[in-house]
Amino acid sequence: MLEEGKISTRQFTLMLFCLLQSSFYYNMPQIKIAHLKQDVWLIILVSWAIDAGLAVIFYVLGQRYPNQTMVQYSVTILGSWLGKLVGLSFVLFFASGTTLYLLDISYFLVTTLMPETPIIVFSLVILLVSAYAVNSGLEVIARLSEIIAPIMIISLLVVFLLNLNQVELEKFLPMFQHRALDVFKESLRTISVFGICIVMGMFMAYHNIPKEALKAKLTAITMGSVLAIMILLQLVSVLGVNMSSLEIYPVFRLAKYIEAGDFFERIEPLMVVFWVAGTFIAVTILYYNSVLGLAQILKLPRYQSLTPYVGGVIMLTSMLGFRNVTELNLFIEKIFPYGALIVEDLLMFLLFAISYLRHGKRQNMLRKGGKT
Amino acid sequence: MKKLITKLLKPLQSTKQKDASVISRQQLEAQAKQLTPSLTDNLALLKDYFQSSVDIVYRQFNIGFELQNRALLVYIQGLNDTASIKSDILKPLMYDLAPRLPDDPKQGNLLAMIKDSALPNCNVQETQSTEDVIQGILTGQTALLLESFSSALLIDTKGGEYRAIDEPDTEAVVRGPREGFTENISVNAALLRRKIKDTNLKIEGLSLGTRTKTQIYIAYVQGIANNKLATEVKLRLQRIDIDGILESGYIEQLIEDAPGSIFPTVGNTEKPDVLAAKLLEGRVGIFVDGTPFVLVVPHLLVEAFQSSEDYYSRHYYSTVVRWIRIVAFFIAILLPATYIALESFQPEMIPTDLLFSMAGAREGIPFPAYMEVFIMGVIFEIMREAGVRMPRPIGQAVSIVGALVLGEAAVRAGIVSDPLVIVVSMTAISGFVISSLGDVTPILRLLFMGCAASLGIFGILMGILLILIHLVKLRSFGVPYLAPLAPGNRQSLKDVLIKAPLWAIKTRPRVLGAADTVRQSSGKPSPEK
Repeated sequence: MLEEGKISTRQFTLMLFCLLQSSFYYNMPQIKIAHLKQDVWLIILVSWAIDAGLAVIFYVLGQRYPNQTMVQYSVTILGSWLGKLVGLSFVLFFASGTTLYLLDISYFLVTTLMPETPIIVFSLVILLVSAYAVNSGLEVIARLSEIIAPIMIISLLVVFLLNLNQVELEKFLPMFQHRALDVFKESLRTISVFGICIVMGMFMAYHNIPKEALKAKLTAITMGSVLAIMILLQLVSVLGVNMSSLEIYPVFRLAKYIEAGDFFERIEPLMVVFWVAGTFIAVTILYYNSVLGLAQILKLPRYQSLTPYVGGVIMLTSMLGFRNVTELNLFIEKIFPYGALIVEDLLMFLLFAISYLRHGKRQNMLRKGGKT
Repeated sequence: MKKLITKLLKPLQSTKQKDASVISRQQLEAQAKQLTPSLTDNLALLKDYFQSSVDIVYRQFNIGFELQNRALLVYIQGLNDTASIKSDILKPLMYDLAPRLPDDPKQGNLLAMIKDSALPNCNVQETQSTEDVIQGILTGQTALLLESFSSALLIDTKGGEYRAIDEPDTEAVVRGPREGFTENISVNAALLRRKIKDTNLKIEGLSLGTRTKTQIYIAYVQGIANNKLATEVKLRLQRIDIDGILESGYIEQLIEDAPGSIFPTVGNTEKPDVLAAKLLEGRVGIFVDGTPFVLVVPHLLVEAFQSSEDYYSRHYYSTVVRWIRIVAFFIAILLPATYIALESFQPEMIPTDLLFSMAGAREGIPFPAYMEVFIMGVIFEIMREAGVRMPRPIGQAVSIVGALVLGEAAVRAGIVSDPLVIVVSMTAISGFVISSLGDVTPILRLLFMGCAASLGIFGILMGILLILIHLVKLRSFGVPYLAPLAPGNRQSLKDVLIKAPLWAIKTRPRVLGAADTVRQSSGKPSPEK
């Protein structure tokens, strides 16, 4: 096997949590608040529901093909060629996710911390450190997220609690002004972001108690959703709808607003550091999965030899793909969700359906006479 | 002892044994190494081994006034208790035995009689091999050879001068036992036995170093320590092939999991109570003769933040102190880097008034912030090294010069700024809080300073992530180095992030894989109703 490590339920949960939570610091709240105003928190609920459904699909597939990652069982289900093609689309999806997170984090750092440094410095350093973690294996990434996830939660809670004194409840009005269809349409992006948790399909093969995978995933997205709703509500009530939709990084602005006592202010660079640490985990997880998936498609004995090549491709796309942060955000808003939804939801649903058509209703497809 | 020597010599012999004629020659040599019945021959044999060494004492005498009962006593000056040789060997043999001597010495087996009923010593061994006799003499035993007997008696008269049991300098405590280990391995093992009076406390011995033949003891509590762990420790020790072991640091470097890491994966202690506590958690101790530092494996990072006193005093204060240690550690590695990052990249994070005064203090300083910090850091490290190596009486002079140079003059001369002096001295003091990580902090500090000088706060973050990845990857004898933080274990965290009251810590740390996990079943104490 390419990866010898095993991860526990807690590590599983916290890895997914880091992955999910990292997307809320950047420009997502701005666009959503601009479109949905006070009802913005509803999209999180919609996304949660859809992702929970997706989690069940993954859970069933993971149980039917134990010790196989999604890349491997797509070959088992669809046969060699078609299966590898589907596997490759997963790998491409992970790699593009890595690129987007990497760019998000780099632009964020350039904007908030060091405006004069070229963006490539950040991308390169993060990718190099990330490659070290990737080559160290899944257990190392899991333990790393076990340390960093609590720090992320605490930093968000600090922002939330220290801003409570500035909440103005009247800013919540008017509520429920949008039709359900509008809410659903706007949810597409958050659904695609939540959907990044399809890495569950990769991790479940290495879970020490696969039966708890569903619980882990549900805990992770519930934790993520609750924190996201808290922050979104606070954005609306502290900054107000107008200001939130004007800021590129509204959560960062929220951290800037902190003013407790006379001295406890201007701690936002500290928050930036914590959030970047969290996003680093997200980058590492996606990077790891694209490398591991590719190695499984190519049937390599060691995935580590692929890390530099995949990293090079990610680096190149991140350098050449987008000219500025606006272009990046436009891509994330208008194009990425559709591609992501095809891979995450449509493809997975098809896999699920074909698995039942081809292999019947047996619980475990690999126990006897199953193909590997 | 003999088994071990042959085991150590095995690799040498196996290459030789290819040739059948070589084997027979070896057998001949082995026969030649047996003692002979002739005392003069034996004396010549021993003198041939030791050649011109002047500290070997050969004492020839007669047993019980009989001229034909020649005897020879061989020992090394200073390794033995001379008074005991006089009163417990020479006197009984020369005088007390005279009336009881059999008529024919060969018939009545004088040697067995002496061994069984004439020597009031605790430990007497009979041997025929010259090799054993030589080893015995070298380790401080006294060899007794008799005319017309081809075996010798090895009498344990080990003695000589040793440092007394003393309070250790490295792990000073306010409350708790004051005794510390000494350089004598049997005293050290006895100090441990006094703490754990259990037959399951196993102390196994072996000797390492082809020249120094240093005595090593492996101590563990059977039934608590994981069997695999004890076997692994023994295996790694047996793999050592070196000419000399002079301190436990030699062993440490030769059995480490990660020799390339800057973090120590083998712990050490100078106090019997600490060692006993660690063995009761399921760890394995390694005594090395000639040093008071006993190795303990596996060693985890969190152990650096625990002190024996935490367990002896009340838990609220222990928790606070433990957090102070954690904070001090982070100050020691991160404060100079943070100063550089804030000063050069993120001055907006400094409160405005402080920023003005800092900018005022830095006016006229020719160096950038990182250069300033680096200069002061180097000066401090030089002073520290000088302070450690220097003879005590000169100490005051250095501290006066240091205080003047570091504090007053450097600032007045415009080489460094005032706030920096605070930063450097704060860092230095914090560095002393975690003494067991003393050789890690300066390196980490330097690393983070480099990160901060190049990329500011972001650089520090990347440095921390790099070190974190390394730390979570590291293992000490199979146990993850950062346990129980990652992989996390809520039960074990009771003794890491906080110090729970003693009655609440019911299990041993799970990561060590102890065979018997339950530490106690006593509940929360309460008065009888």
